[in-house]
Amino acid sequence: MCLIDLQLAMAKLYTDQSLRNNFLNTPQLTGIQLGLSDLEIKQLEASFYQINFFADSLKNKRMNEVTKFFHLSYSRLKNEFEELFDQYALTYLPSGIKKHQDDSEKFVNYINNIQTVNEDLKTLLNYELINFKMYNIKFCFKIKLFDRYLIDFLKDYTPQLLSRVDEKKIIYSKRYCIAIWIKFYPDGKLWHIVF
Amino acid sequence: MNILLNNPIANLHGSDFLRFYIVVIILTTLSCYIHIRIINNKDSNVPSIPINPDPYEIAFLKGKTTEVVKLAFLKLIQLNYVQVEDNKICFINRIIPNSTLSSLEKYFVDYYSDPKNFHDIINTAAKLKITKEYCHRYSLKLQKYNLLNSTESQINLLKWNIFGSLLLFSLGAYKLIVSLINGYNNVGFTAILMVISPLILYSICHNIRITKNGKKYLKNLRFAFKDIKKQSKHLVASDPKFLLLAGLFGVSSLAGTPYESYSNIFVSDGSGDSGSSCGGGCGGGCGG
Amino acid sequence: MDNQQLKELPELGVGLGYRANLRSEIFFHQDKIDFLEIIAEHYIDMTPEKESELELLKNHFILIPHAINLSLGTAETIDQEYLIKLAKLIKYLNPPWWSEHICFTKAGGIDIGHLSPLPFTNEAIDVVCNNIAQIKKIIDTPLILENISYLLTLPGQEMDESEFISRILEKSDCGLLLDVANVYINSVNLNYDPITFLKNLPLERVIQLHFAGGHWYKSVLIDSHSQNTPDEIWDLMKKTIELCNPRGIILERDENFPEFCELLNEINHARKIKLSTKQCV
Repeated sequence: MCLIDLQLAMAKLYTDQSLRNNFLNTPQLTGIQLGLSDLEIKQLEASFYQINFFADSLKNKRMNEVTKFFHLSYSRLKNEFEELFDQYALTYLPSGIKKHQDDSEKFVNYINNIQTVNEDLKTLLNYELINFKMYNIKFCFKIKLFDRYLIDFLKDYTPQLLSRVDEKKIIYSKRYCIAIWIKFYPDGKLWHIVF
Repeated sequence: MNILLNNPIANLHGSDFLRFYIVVIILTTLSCYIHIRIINNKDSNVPSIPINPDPYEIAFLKGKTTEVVKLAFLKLIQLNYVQVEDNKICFINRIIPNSTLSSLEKYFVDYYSDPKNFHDIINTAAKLKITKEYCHRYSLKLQKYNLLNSTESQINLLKWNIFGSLLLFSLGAYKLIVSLINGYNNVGFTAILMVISPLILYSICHNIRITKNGKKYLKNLRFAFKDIKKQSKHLVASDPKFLLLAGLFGVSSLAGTPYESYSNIFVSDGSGDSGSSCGGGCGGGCGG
Repeated sequence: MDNQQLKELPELGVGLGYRANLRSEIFFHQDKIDFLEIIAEHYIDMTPEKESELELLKNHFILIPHAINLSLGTAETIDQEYLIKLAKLIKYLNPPWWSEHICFTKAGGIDIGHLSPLPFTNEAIDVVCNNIAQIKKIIDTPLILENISYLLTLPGQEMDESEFISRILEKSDCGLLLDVANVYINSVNLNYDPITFLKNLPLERVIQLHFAGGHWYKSVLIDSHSQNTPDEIWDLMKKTIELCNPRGIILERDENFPEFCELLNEINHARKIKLSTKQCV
């Protein structure tokens, strides 16, 4: 088998869990579909543990990178986050220089479309994604209404951000909150407040 | 007298004068702005970030003597000389080991005896001769590195501002009086421009102290040491990084730290300093 | 890059792999860090914050760009858009050298997302060297190649890893970024003698070293850059330095960050090893 075909077969095995399961159950059939010779099938079958190990480490690395975008959501709802990411990772494979950012956006889209997901997690993920995007664009003016009271989640995490919020003076329902992001020039300060 | 009431400007019709006035406002503001840019943008390198940045020097660069005084009291709180109770400062320890305090801090411990309102202390301390003398060395050093404008430059720029503002105000006032004498009452726009044009000029041209290099240097320092904000919750109370944190980002950045009550003094009355409302937790995940 | 050119590369000392969360500590201890290695991909298509970061770092340190996703071993063509952006970054930094891995990360439009081992075959050597020749037309800064850690040996092996690396280095005329931790980790996981492996490499081509500590997971030693450097890797590094003359040494740390002083201790220890070994030689 030439290198180009071998690399393609390996890339598929590393990144496609159902293909790996098929290979485990019916190595000969799946191997032939991948264009592998009998000898190559036997060698890879013997190394299946290593292939799986590598594939797991890829998924963990992906999740590790995505959690960097969602510190708050991950630290608050770690188990649920990991479970959902495992499900999501089967549905999409990011690529390109900004693949981790792309992965994060697609993950939030995926979560938004699942009815049963904890609303707190959804709100936090959406907040953090917007926050990241606003932080990294050149100019911005964005106001977003969240139908969850984010301040309870944020206060432990960003005391400076909320230093001006006097909770005793909050008289409205803790049902909604508004976040505002403003940036006037590319390397300027991002003005951000949640109330 | 006749020439005052009868000259090309006095004779300009309302809308023509407004056009003329707006052109003068733009030209005056622009020339003041260009003048400031020329002085602020003197060509020189932005200094490197020092290994041990001096929080007092940074505080002075950022906000004159008041910021230095705020920092001096933070250090006195750190070293248990001072306690904050209900917006008041109480000195609880007057035994001064020479090595730990600067001359300014020693002076404060000596000078203030009774519990006082904190804002009174800050205001008076910032105006003390010793404070000004103490900060003078920072001023000289920062001027040497072209981070602050020299006193002469600042005076020069201030003169331009005052002259520009006076020019704009006088022109509007003159036309207003002439129009009223001549029996015209539709002078609303002129009156509005007469008031707001000096304010516009001030808002655009007020930054006469810190140079472009100074701003860049401050920005570099804040960027390099931004992580201290995140670390601050976990630092021990005696950590000198608190001084740097307050020097760089203002005393209000001490929220969530052992010095929260000190920071609240400045937050509660709205005198919090710059940087406090910047997105504290933004962009944590910018990894690639 | 012949031996003369290799000898002319400057001595950089001992430094650290730059990670954004270490920034303030790095600036507090500038005098203890000789140079930094940055992940090139983090500074391609930069956000304004990354632009400021790069400018600041460039003004204070020598920066070595370390690429991770060029996919030197891919049998398809190298991603030209990516290559041009990388070239622009390298030109801006003007480093004495830059580095990439001997591996593939992309195939058939799939971005694997990690460094995947190549089969140790003549065809793979040709592919890597052709790709490098193409890269050298665009980037004239010396390229050094890093050995990776791996678990899986791909089918069709025609030689061992040390011969594979040696032949690539000779044919492509590149320097070697020898990851001592990877050598040790591979030797443990694949059960071979690391010293024999080292001695089979063209050590005169070693320009830079990497070192780090990994962790055990399911009976496999992982190159996670998450632990302090263990004694075995220090020993291997000492022996490596006895055999070659690296111009720079970089400590890598990506996870489980300790107090910064521990990283400084490791940097200092590496510096001492280098100095004492060179004095003995």
